[in-house]
Amino acid sequence: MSTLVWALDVSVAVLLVALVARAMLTRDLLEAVVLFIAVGLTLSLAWVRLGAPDVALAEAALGAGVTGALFLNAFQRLARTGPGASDAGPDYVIDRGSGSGCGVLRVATVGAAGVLAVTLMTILVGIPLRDAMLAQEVRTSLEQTGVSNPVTGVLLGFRAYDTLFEVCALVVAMVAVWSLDRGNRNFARDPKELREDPVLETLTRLVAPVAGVLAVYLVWSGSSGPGGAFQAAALLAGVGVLLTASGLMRPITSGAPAVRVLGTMGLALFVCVGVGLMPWTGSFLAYPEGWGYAITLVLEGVLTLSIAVILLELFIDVPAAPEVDPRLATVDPTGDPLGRTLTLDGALIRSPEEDE
Amino acid sequence: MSSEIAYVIAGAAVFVAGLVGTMGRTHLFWKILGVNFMGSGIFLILIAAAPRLPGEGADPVPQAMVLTGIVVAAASSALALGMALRVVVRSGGPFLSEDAPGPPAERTEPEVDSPGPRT
Repeated sequence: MSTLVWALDVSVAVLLVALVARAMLTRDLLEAVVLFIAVGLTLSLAWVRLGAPDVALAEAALGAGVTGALFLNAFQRLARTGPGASDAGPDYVIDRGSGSGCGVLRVATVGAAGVLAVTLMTILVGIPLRDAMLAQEVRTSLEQTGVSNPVTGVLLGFRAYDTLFEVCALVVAMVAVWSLDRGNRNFARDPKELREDPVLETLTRLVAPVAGVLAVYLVWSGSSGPGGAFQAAALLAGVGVLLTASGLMRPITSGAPAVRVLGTMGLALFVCVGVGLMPWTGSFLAYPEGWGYAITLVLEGVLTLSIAVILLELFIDVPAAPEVDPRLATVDPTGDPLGRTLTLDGALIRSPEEDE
Repeated sequence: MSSEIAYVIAGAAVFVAGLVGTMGRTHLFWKILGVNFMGSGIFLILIAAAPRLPGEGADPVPQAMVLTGIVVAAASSALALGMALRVVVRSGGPFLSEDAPGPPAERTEPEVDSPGPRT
């Protein structure tokens, strides 16, 4: 039995490396993106085998699901943009440019990568096994947090500081994507088209409610078993992506007041809890005795909504409008985008318009 | 015990494969994929190499770190893809200017000496 389990672990590990290597070497972008999703799913299998069900849930919903959808969406836009989309020109979804350097360089790269990999593996395997000090520490003081799932205890109790800044990073990413460009939401499907695709519609109608209920369950059970805000939010965002992409739900409007409120609500509440309780507890993000469970549950609920809205927003708002300026097609891509020549002090000495 | 070693070794291999893709490919989408794979490799090492209590799952502290990392990686991928698509619009291809594949035939030489790396 244990040999069989060992064989399973080794095959998952080998499969993982093979999938990643193939994704990095292929010249077809669609193949690479599909392999990325496959890596996410294989990785969640590895998390289950490593005894990390919380990470497995997040990886399956986020690493494979939402990020995969993001890549597919961006791929779609790139494929529609390329000059090759209309006439025979460079096609952006088939990479012909990379790796055409001289053979010696490529051999050297592969050799250096091999040396690096072997060195890393030797170092990592050679690390002596120590006692599980951190795990022991968490186990003995878990009672103070009021929850019994150690991962939730670490995320919202002992290391709430990290989680606070993670939510900050998400809000910043959302604002940064807004500032790039307002996306056009042309991925939403026409209702007419949907009627011709009964499989997608039926599947979405069946899956979305179940996944929604599952997300609520994950928040609730996160205090005692696998689950929690991030896993639930990833699932909820996945439902949103599915509903939007299948045309059953109108895409949420980027920058709308509701999106702003929902997206920043989690961060605001987190900061309020951290600062507001300071008169009683004396330190930032400390919870008063006996209130840990209630505070964690409320925070998790609000964070779930916030993170789900931010992730959905990031998916929808991938800047599009890639109508390449026709003038750019004939211009040296290594220079200024509009073909102007700049002098040292940045002054324009020649522009294509003046030439004509 | 040996199972964890298999995942640690796989993590190192995945990290190096991602690094090679990030450095070696010129197409921006492969660079973003490569950075994601590098992250996945590090996550694997973090969880698989952490010592664990007998009879229990993985150490909860690296688990929480990796959970945080997965969410941040998704958000930063969204931002990176958005910027890559802006590069396509601005410069006509998913490449950084110094990596752009062969210049078009009607390329004109700049009339002044190139003032260092152009951006």
